[in-house]
This record gives sequence, structure tokens and C-alpha cells, in this order.
Amino acid sequence: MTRTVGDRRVADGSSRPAATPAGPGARPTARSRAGRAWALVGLGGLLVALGVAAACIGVAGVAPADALAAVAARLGIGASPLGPVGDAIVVDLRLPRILAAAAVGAGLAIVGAVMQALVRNPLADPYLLGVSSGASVGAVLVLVTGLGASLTAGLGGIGAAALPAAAFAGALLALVATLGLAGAAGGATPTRTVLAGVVVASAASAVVSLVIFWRADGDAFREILAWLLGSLAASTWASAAIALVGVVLALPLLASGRVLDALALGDSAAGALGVDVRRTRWLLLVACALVTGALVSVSGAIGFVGLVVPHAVRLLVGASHALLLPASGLAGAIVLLVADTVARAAFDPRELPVGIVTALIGAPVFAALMLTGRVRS
Amino acid sequence: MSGLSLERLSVAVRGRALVDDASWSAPAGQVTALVGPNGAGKSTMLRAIAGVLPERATHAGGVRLDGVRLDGLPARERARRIALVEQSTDAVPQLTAREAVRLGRTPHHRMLGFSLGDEQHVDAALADAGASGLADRQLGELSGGELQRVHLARALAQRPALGEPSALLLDEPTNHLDVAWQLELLALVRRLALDRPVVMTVHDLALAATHADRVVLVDRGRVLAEGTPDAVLTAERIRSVYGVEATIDAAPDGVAIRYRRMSA
Repeated sequence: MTRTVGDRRVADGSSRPAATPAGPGARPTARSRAGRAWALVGLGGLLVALGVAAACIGVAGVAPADALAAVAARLGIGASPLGPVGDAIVVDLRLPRILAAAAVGAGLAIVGAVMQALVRNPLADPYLLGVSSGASVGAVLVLVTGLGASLTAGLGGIGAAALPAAAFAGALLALVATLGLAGAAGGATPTRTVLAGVVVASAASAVVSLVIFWRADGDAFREILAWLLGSLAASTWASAAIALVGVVLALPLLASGRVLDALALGDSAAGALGVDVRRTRWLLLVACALVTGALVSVSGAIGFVGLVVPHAVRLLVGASHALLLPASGLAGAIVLLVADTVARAAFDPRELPVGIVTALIGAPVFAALMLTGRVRS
Repeated sequence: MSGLSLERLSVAVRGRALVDDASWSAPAGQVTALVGPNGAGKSTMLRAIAGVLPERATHAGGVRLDGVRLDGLPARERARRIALVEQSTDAVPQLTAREAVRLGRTPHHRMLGFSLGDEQHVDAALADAGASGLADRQLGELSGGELQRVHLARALAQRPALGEPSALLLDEPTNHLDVAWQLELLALVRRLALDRPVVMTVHDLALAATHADRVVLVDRGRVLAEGTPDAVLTAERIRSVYGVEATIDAAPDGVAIRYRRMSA
């Protein structure tokens, strides 16, 4: 008797007419995986083209072919068509800054996408664990005490590393504090992680404010403000190298897409799929914080890239992290490269901290995504 | 024995017993309904079987599937043999149904791993759950009944190999579904139970009596009765467990139960 219930319609329930209208929100979603993968190729091509363009833009205009030839010449291929000054501008000033911008942007966007999945919160960004605030404490202490300058005077190049080193140490301390607090409260669940990050970030910000209020004046104040807003103006080949190391550290995160998709179902559902939720979340949070610490140590806390780029990229390639993570990386590189080029060239001879540009662009973009209902957890 | 069995399972959180020395079995080829009042421990039992108890929970006793103890198995191995569809599973609205079902293959991958043949499993699972037509739709566009099918398909994709089904645990599968979708889902569950044990928690006793082969009645973490629906669901038991008067009528197309508050 019970066996016959509903047998007629069950052949393909999805075709039940009344319950499956296409719905007002239905978009053509049957984009093929191949089509989405082409988005990666397109973004990659765009990034390279913009990189070349950025090398040509500035007070000293350079033709793209000349810029490429100058870089090739430095690598030992052919001769540079530019003079020694033009050569230095393109290869020693612009190129490291372009690489740093692309690397920082890529890293921030990847980490932002991973963090949003780990804590299941659309507002998550790379600074959620208090990492940037901790880095600020380290950086501000160095700037205020003039430690970097005196070390540079004494030790040369090694002393110049005092600022990024202190920033990275501050970031690590903040990470330990955040995860320690969340763990002591019963485990790094999404909510506890967010709350612990807020606590640590507030405490670190208070320390930064205190130090500035107490000690900073004149030049130190300006330097600190530029650092807090995020700036790539001081990029050298050394800082580009640190940022690239940060991105290399972020590459293993790209492989976590499947696990992140599973975590998005909820901790319990992910556990039922055999995922060791606690260990996975802990590992990925630490990896994210290390990457963010490396990036922040060279650029300061550049806002909005890690928050907005993943949301925008979801519209392009969908929500599955296998594609979302690499696409976010490329898009983040593009966004920060463009923003930094605007920051250094648009208001010549003055230069803006790039953090102001990303916020000026990012806030209206995020608002637009919100208004069109495209920001979802 | 082929099937799933709880053996003297107890689960406690901070000293409070959620499941208390419970034993029951769910044979392969049958639909077993787990019924009882709110807070009786039904969902906790399913989570204990799937190995996803909350962090602070302690448990004793065990679970066997086809005679094999599940407690000692690694989480991924366990997830290939047992699939759980919970009541409140977050659905990422932009994920397509196919992407969601592909997640069912997670227990077959290492963290950085990749395996061929996944798509075959995904296609088969979508077909078995009657959800092939939904494959390219986004979850945010699906109705509750369609979404439940996709969740079921994801659970089916966890199976160890094609033609080798894993046990299926469904927590309130008919919740929030209208009557037509309820009947479709139950018919689907019936078909899926042909070659595997299926356990579902249900609040609607008439639905359990009509659609399940076996009923396990639990209250306050303990098993009160286990057996065929008409043996387990009697007016006296319903009165003592739920505190309501019940009139049970068997009809050719199922069981109808009417309830009244008890007169003081």
C-alpha cells in the first residue's frame, strides 16, 4: 500500500511544473566550466597588458616597446633603447612597484576569498584576525622611535628591513592572540574567530593610537599615516621580493577550493563529508595570517581589495572556490595595479597613498554589489 | 547482519545525557523512522552515527554498519559509508546543483587531491535523486523540494563505488515541504532504501506509520519501543510520550492519526 505513493511523478521530480518556474531571478547559469576557465586566461592577459601599460605611465612617458626592451636588456637580452635615467625609472622604480602591487593585490584577494569561506561571513577580509592592526603596532613603533633610520645608518640594507620585520612580528603576535583567544573560548568556530579578531584588532588599534598621540610629530606622523592607509610608494626590489614570497605562500591556498566549498555547507555537514573541520580551519587561518602578514609588512594595510574583489569575481566565475580563488588572485592583482598607478600618476607631482584610492573605488563598488543583491554569504 | 545498528550508545554534553544507553537497528532494504518529542535525542543519534557530534560531546557505546564498527574508522572512510542530510544545511546560493553534488565526492579526496571518474558519480547521483534536470541551475533559484533533492544527490555521491550504496541518514527530510513534494520525496526515499539502510527522523507520526517499515520511538534519549509501525505507535504510547490522546485509523492508503489534548 505504501509502496505506490507518488510513483507516477517520481520519475523526474524536477519537472514538476508548478514548483519549478524559472523564477524572476533566473539567469542563464549554464555557463560551461570551460567558459569560466577562459575567464582566467582573459584576466591573466589583461594583467600582463596593464603591467606593461603601468611601466609606461608616469612623469617620464615611455613607449611600451621601449619599456619591454629595457627590461629585456636588464635580463641580458639585447640593448636598452632608453638612456641610463630612463632605464632606472622603468626597471628600478616602476617594475618593482608594479610587481609589488600585483603581488599584494593577488595575495589580499585570495586571502579575502578564503577568509570569507572559513568564517562564512561576506564581510570577512584578510584583516579579520587582527593581523593588520598587529602589524601596525610593530610598524608604528619602528617609525616613532626612528629605529629603522638609526639601524639603516648603522647596518645599511639590513636596517631597512626593520620596518617590515617589526610589522610581520606584530602580525604574528596578533594571530597568536586571536587564535589563542578563540581556542580558549572553546574552539575557532566562525563566530568566535570573528569576535576574537575584533577584540585583538581593537586592542592593537588602541596601542597604535596611544603611541601616535604620545610621541609622533611632523615627519613621523606623515610616515605613519601613509603606512596606516597603505602605500606602495616605498617599493624596492626587496619589498617586491617579500610580496612575491607572500603570494608563493598563498599558492597552496588555491588548492583548498574543494574543502572550502564543503565548509560552506556548515561545520556539521562538512564533518559528515569526512572533513576534519577544526584542523582544516586552523591550518587555513594560520596560512592566511602568514600571507597577510608578509603583504602588510611591505604595503601597510590596504583596504577593500580583499573584501570587494572576491564578491565581484563571484559574479564572473561563480561561487565554486576551485575557480574563484585563482580568478580572485588575478583580479586582485589587476585592481591594485590600476589603483596604484592612479595613486602615483593621477595627481602628479603629489602622490596619494594607494589605500585612499582603493577605498574611494571599493566603497561605491561594494555599495553597488549590495544594492543589486549580489553580496551573499 | 546487513544494516546499521546502535549498540548501547550514550552521548552527553557537559554531563547532561542527550542519548542514554540506546540500542536499535535499521536493516538494509527498509526505511526506519526515528520518532519522538522535541529534544528526545533523534538528531543527536543521527549525528553520532555520522561521527559529527559537537566538540564538547562525549560518547560511549558504538555504531555498526554491516557488522563493522564505525568508531575506529577514519573520518573520510566513515563518510564514504554513511551519508547524512541534515535539516539545516547552508546552501551557497550561487553554487550550481552539479557543483553542490560534486561536494559529495569530498571523502574520496585528499586535501590537495584530485580524482577522475567523479563526474560519473555525480551524474549517477543526480539521476538517482531525480535531479538531473537541475544540474546547471543555481541553488538560490531552487524551491525547497528541489533543494532537498540536490542535498540527497550529494549524499548519494558519497558512496564508495558505483553500485555500492552508503547508508542514508535523513534528519526531518519532509520539513518545510508541501504535501506533493513530501510524497515525492518519500517515494524517492523508498526507492533508495531498496539496497541500503535508510533512517529518517520525522515528527509526523501518521507519515512515519504510512511510509516507514520500522519505527523506533525515543524519548529523553532512551529507546521506548522498536518494531513495525502498528506495534510501536499505539494510543497508549503516544499518550505517555507526548501527553496527548490519539485516535489511530488504518486506511487502505495509509494511517491517519487524530490528536486531542488530554482532559484533566
